[in-house]
Amino acid sequence: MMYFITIVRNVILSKWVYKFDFFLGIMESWIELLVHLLVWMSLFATVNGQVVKGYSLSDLITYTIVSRIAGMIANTKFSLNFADSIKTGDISLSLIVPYSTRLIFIAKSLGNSCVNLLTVGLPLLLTSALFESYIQPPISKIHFIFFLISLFGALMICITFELLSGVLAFWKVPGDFIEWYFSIFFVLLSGSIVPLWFFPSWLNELAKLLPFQAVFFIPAQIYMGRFNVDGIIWALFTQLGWVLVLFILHDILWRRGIRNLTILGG
Amino acid sequence: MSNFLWYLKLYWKIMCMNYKSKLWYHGKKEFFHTLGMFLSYAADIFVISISMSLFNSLGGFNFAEIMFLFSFELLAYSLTNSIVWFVGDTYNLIVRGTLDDFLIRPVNPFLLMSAKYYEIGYIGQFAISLVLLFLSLQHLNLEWGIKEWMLYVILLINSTFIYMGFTTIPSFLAFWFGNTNKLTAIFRWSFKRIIQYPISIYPDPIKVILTVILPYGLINYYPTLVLLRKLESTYKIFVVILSLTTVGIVTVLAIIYTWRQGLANYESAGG
Repeated sequence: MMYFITIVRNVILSKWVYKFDFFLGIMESWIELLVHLLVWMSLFATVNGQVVKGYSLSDLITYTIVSRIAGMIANTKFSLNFADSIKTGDISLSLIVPYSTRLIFIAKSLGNSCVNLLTVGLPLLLTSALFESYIQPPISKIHFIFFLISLFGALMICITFELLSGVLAFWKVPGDFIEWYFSIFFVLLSGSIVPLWFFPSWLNELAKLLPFQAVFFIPAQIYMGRFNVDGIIWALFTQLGWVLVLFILHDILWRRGIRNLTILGG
Repeated sequence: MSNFLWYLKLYWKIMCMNYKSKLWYHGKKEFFHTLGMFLSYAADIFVISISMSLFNSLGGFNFAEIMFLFSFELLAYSLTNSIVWFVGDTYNLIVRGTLDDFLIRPVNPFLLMSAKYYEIGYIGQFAISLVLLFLSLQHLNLEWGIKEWMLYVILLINSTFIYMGFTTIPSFLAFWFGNTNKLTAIFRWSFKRIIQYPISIYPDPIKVILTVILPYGLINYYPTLVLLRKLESTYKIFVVILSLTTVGIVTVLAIIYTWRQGLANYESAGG
């Protein structure tokens, strides 16, 4: 356990070394958040702040900020390292240490999430102070607790996703493209930018069948109290189901890949 | 003039050679790159269209006008990035010193570098933005004569110059400060997000910043105002066009100046 905690600490420290980049990272995420919020403000200004499809400006701003919290925790992005280490053969180093290879990558990604808490969390806090009057508190304490649980679920889905896409490198699929293509699907179908409420109904149905919405949309929905207790439990089970499905898929591929792995002709 | 033609031929030749050598190994990779660019912009347009389908306008622009704005920015952006794609590699070029390769040849190193790094993957974006341009013009019922098209081309080239300034100058700072990849990334990608929407949606202080201090608004917002006839008086149109071209020319001079100063400061590997 201490070993993994050390890995997490090392990732945080290595990011902190480049302080200027660190602050630029804060600025980057701040710009993106602000643009989203201002676009919603201005869109709702054209209808004089009325309700559109049953949702008000305050709903949208709360949604954007809450889904950003989910994104901050779930933004793990280690598949690229994973794929690279398979491609270059560095994975042999992680295979011979007496710790689980995949747990090492997961620990690294947790370190990344901790860094994100600062680089994304800080601008998030500042911005929410600006838009304070629009942000709704969680419906009840129970909803808030379930929200925290679903955040954990979102993190697990992201980790298994990254494991799955990284392992594809065994079959010479370039890691950067996989990551890029997945991020495009995340933009489209997760509701991270436009909530699924506003999607045309066929797309809404499609998105609900895919794992992307379980990362951003479900936690935000739970926070805003759009689900009753049955709905919440159903949503959490959806998340759990996706974690299992993705992990089993990954595990099959991983075992096959490792069995056929040859490094530098070895 | 013959000198210019000679350079054009050289540029073309290096580009072709470079691409042949790339396709030899990674034909698949180039294909996936183009497809990915295509998909990611399709996703952007899709997101804008969904969020706008429920509302009438955004910052005084309707959907077709937003798409015109989007395509204008995308065209300037792809022109810029296909030409100065080397900024993504400044760490190797300037800090690790592979720039030496280009300095020891008897041609202009800037052009040589640009040709060597020319990125053909932007073809997907050119296609998207041209399709968007024609679709939006159709929807807006604008009849463009030869005069308007000429103005369009001039403003586009001008915007490309301004964009190029924002892309290259931060990366040339590597001559003095070492690794500036993150800074360049902010000027290349983050501000792009801001100007995908008309800057009229932002609060006044941000509008002023985007017009005067970091003139990103001049890349697509003001040209769109002129081209879509959103300005009433001819006097205003004249002032906008004049200031746009002035900024464009100043940017080109600034790029040349930083490049020269940077080269004078260049110390090869470990510099």
